[in-house]
Amino acid sequence: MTADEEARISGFDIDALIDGGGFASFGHVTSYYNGVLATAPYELGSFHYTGARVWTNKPASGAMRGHGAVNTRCAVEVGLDEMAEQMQVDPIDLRLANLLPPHSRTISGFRITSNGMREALERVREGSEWNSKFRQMPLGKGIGIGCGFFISGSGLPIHWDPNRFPHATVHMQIDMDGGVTVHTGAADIGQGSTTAVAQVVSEVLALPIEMIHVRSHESDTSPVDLGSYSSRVTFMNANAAIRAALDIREKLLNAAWEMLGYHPDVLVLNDRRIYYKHDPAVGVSYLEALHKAQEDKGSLISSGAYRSPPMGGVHKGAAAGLAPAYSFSAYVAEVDVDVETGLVSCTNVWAAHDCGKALNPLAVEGQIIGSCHMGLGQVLSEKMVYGRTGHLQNPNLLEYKIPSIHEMPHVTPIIVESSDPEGPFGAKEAGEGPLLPILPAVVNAVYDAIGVRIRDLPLTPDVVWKAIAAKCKELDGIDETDLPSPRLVHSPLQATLVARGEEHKERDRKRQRSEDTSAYVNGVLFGFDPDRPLEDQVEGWKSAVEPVPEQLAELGLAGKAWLKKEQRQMGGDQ
Amino acid sequence: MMLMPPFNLHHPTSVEEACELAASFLADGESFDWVAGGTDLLPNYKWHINVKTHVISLAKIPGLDTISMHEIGAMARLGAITSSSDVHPLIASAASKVASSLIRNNATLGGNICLDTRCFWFNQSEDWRRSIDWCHKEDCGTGSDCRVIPNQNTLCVATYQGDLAPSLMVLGGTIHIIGPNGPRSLLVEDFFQLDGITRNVLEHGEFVLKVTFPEGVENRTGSYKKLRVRESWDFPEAGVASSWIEGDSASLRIASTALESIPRSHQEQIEALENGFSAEQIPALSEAIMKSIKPVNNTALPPRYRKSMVRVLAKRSLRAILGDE
Repeated sequence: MTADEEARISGFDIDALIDGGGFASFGHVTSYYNGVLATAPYELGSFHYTGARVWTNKPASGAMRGHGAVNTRCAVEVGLDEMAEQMQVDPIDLRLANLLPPHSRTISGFRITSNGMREALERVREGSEWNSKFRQMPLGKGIGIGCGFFISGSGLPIHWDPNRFPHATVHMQIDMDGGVTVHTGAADIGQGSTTAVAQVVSEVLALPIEMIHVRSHESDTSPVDLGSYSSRVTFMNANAAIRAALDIREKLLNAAWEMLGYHPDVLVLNDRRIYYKHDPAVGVSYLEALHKAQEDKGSLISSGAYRSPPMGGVHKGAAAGLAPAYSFSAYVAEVDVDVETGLVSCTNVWAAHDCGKALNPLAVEGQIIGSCHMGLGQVLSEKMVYGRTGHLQNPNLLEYKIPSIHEMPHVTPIIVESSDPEGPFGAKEAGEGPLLPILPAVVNAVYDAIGVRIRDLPLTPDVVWKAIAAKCKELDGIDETDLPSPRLVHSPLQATLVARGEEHKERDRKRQRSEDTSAYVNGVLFGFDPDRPLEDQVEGWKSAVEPVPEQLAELGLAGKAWLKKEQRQMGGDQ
Repeated sequence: MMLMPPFNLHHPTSVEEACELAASFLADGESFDWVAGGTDLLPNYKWHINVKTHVISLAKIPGLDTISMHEIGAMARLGAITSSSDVHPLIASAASKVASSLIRNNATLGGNICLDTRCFWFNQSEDWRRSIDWCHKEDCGTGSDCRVIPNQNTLCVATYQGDLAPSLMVLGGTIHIIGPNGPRSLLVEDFFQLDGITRNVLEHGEFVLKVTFPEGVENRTGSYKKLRVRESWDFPEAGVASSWIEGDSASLRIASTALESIPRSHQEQIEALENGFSAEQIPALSEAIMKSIKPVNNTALPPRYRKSMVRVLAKRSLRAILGDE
């Protein structure tokens, strides 16, 4: 990770070696995600990634919440914290001055639509009283920041040709009683996707939610759905439901037009009544319009579908991580570290997540708090331990240590609404993205508490204690309780960052409100023209597809693993 | 795999009947286990670990659940001990740290004392253990070696992870046992016996009746410190208890648990103190206790770390009884 003299992030070089266990499963996707999902929300000068997923003699593995993004995201955010430390600047200001604006394009070619990253950072900074705590607390108490972004539905469906078939389809039917039956193939696995579908239909048709009957996961009647993965269900399925509902709405308004003589443009559909915009007394009831629409035709039936727009570049890996929208999040975590035992307890989390528009705020808050719990396990205690015989030594819930209620911090969920133009009523995902920032926020908070960087996860007490003991030894054998707490004295760069952050805040505000609709791609911060291809502006610029010999000369771990595989397949002798 | 294997459950209603039942099984050569709360035995049964044909429950024997300052019955539930204002505060506090509240509501003092030793090569499903060709603690007739310390098949090093034993030891508790050959009693610290398979002095057919404490135990100040990753469910990875009668150095007692196959009293290190017990002695004493312990790699945290933590736990426990926390 490198930065230039103006504290712009000039490059990420990521090397990921993934222990995938036996069988391939989603391995290739995981390998790509480890790279491409590490880029935004920052504007980068360059990006290089090598990744390899290695077959090992362990159980098969698959996707977990935050598929492929969690580990590299943690590395990137911890790296930024270290970078801020070296520059002697505040890590939040470093981030605020390097964010991509709304309606822009990331270095890997992702189309960013709405972007609430800045607001998320500002709100957690304020909520956590960051400015009076960071690098100012006594030994053993720390505060840390972490950010993240995540796909809101994979732009490429896993089953079929994305350019021909929709990602989600919803069927809808209204009979004479006025009740709406919605058929969807989306399986509600507890996240509330069925509720979301009912909500959007109720909104479009202006009907009470009790009149919407969602029949989901009934394979006899429901349309095909791709599944609950890549945080796509509410985004794609609700979009399809909106389209189906709009179709019915149009039929209802046309019937009212026939009855009232007013064009649908001046008709209002509201609370089971359709009326003339300028004289609400002139109108028909919903049932009257419905019965009119059903004359000679029977039930009103419609089908709505959603397909994400074509996106993406041509470089290797360009298709991975494409999504119609991206969610953004920023968390601040506060920890207590027992310097003598190495026990870390997370006490407070301020969790801001930009989900576009919270269709169901209670569910969004639940997802945020649940993500904190799941992520805390990953960062503090959950670990698959393999013994010397290759057996999993802790295949039970006593020894695989998922945090209990006692380990759960007080989480303050903060919903940021950036209103996405592509999402259903502006909504984006809230299922996986909220998990990403908790890991680096805790790791950075541990550094703030004890001044020791730990590079192994999870931060089990023995790992933390070992790092503390090594540090004490390095400092001439001082006692753990005498460890110096890290402190921050701002360098002149801090002022540069604050000024740029303010400037960008204004830029982002204009772009979010569509006052500024000019093109913006990653690189503008470095002085490039967004309207001309980079190839024309930088000599020697190339989007590498095949590794060049110079790159192969200095291989990272993943590169070596890749080379080894190539040689084995080619019958090489190494 | 996780189904409870079949066994015959017996419910004697008096101590005498229980002893007669045990004697008749012994005479017939039938295998049996005692069960109190069942929170340790039954999970092991589900994993098909040392399943016996008969299980004798102590639950229906009246009068075994006394809870007082000087006597706690074997069937006293840990949940009741935790919330009791009659028992010594050290026992209540140690009991409150056992597992989770659900388990404490069923678990008993006797069961906690007689807790089976644990090891990550042993507390596994039957299929898992078969795939490593079993281990010394339950070799299923194969004469398997110990998996923790290989190339010796004489000693089981499974770890005793009971929470209460060190507190009972430092309060000078006496354990009362009964069996077909009559009652006997001995100090809690003499109750435990190496190795991880033998565990304690109970002869087959004997069971724990109660633990009693000497006069003046109420004058003791005690503290138990437990190391665990989570504040609930987890067995101790190390535990140190200490107690003394304020101002009386000779009364100081320290014991540790969850580090070796039996809990240990640290009288030897206390006796090595030259100038009596005071705050200045704590670092050296804690260090000496740490050095006397040899944990092995068979629990969640590595042995070197657990050993180092003995010093910290001892220090904190001793500071607590000096009122300097």
